Amino acid sequence: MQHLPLLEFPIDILFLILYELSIVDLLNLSSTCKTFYLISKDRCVWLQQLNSIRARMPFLHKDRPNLLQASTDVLRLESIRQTRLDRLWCRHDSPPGRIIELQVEETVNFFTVFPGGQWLVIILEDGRLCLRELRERDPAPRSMTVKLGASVREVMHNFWASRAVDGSAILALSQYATSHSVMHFYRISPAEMSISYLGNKHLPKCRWASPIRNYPASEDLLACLHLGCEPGTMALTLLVIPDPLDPHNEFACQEIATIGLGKFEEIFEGEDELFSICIFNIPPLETLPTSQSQKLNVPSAQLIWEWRTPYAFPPPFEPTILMPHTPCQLVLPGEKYTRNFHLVAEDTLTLHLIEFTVSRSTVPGAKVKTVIKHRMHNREREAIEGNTYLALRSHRGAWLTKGNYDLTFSTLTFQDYSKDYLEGTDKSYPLPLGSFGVNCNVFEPHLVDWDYDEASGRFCLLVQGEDGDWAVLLVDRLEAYPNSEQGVPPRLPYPFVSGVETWGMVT
Amino acid sequence: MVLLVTSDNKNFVVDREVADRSVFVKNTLEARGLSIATPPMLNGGCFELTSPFLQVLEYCQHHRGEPLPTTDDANADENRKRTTDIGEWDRKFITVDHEMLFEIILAANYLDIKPLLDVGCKTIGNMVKGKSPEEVRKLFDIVNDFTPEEEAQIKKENEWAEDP
Repeated sequence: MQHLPLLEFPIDILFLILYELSIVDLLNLSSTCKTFYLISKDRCVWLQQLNSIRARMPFLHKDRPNLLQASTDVLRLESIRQTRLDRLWCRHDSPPGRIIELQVEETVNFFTVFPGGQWLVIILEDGRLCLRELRERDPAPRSMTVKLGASVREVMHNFWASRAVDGSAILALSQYATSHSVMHFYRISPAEMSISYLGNKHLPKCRWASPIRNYPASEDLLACLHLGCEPGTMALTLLVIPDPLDPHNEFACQEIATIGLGKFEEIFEGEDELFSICIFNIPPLETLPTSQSQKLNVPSAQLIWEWRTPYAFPPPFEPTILMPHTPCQLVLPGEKYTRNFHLVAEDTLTLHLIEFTVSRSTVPGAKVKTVIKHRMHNREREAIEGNTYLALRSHRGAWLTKGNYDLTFSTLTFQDYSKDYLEGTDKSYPLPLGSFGVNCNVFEPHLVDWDYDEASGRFCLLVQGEDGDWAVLLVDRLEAYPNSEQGVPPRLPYPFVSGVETWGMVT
Repeated sequence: MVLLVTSDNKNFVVDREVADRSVFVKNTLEARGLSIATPPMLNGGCFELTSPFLQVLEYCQHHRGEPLPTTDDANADENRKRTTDIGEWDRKFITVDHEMLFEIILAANYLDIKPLLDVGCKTIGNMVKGKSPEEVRKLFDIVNDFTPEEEAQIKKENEWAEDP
């Protein structure tokens, strides 16, 4: 047999080869001999691995912005951990690792995971805002509740949390009205166990308001882009939210600019028969003021692309956008961007899955590809809707949907999973949701709402039982460990699990 | 047409377009304004040169006229990583014995033919894929120079990368 004298390659070629390897292969190669062991300890190798992980699974890095400056050992451990987590998550036979069940007595109007995955924010129907710790019974999870103002209670629609310097977050609730909207701001701090009302902002031109997440906050200001709409018109409003901790500032939300975006009924929002997805080129926002006194002069935004639902959809038409949480996505100037948008459009007979791929390179403009993927019949639709658990795994493709109370998670690749169901007439499809039910005290749980926390990788599911009980299930993929014996903790701890880098977490 | 002379004094006359696949040759020709280049001094001439060079020429001829990868692209690494698959023709081309693969990679590195170097490195990466350390040692003739203690230590370090 011929041998390939790998070690005779110059070292730069060896590096190129190492770059091609997956983490498991890299570690295997590094345990063959001292030379490869030493080479594989090089920082470049792990930077490359992390970059590749980041390209495939951007959400895994959300909580570790400074990772690239970390030591080589940390890079290495983190690459390994993330790869492993992802693999566990994608395994077909792995059940959710941990389910925490919180009993909720009242009807839940709104719920979301506090960034960091350790706390839950719930708004109950009777107008209370609750902060609850996501922990099992022993010791008892902490919680606190405040009463919301009567006007706030009426319509709670949107949420936006931003990381403040102390790990608290600002919750923005917006309220519908016929001709304007109001945003109410609360500061929530798990560290202090406090919820304080900061103030509100009337937005007279906005019929609805949708805060945009992920806007990079500057040091002394929390900036917020805000999308609103007066009837028949789109407006983009830029707000500056001061840091609530700054003793020199009274909390006063400031509107710094409004950009009219022309005549559009909705952006990324489905309603009745009209639906459109629009892409705007919004002028660079780097000039946002660093102090409140500065004004921002923003030119008009340009519409680059618009897609409206074709009339081929017979009414009644109730499209639901398959995008998590926010109907508007901000792409920063110069950022490369590719994203699939998924739309479920439903009429009396069929469910249409439409996939959009929007990509934007560093040059201005965007390319858009529209594909109508499926016209599904009811039976296929049942498969999708019953496929909660499978679809949970597919969150990487943003195939998460939340709509009215019976629409659950969905996935474009559902056919792979439920092929038997779709092909055979008599076969029954084992609903993966059953594996939740085993551990859940709520009878016949039915998924009502969900939230996913990018920082911790945790899913929270809000379920309601047949008898009306509510429960929150925490699906913690960090501890998914399918093959460990029952009751026995994982053999080897992940290097970061115990100290998942959450901020604002009380120990 | 340009004349390329290998270090074992074999002459090859090829189209300029073909020769330009090699950044090394291209730069040499441009710098000297000549049409004769004597590039491949492979490791001091300890290899049989003509046959890997013929392979490399075949590769260059097949890929002539394709845009050369830009070296100043900040995302070159990313792009390279993204295209993990080897094209059909390249895959057949690189299906050679180990010795030839070794020399093609060295030649591609020396002549600065990045796409070919990538194909070679990916091929080796595929050979390593899914193999245990012992299998990799056998494949590449690597001598295990760890002490048993070191080996145990490394095994422990890498343990949580294995499947549970």
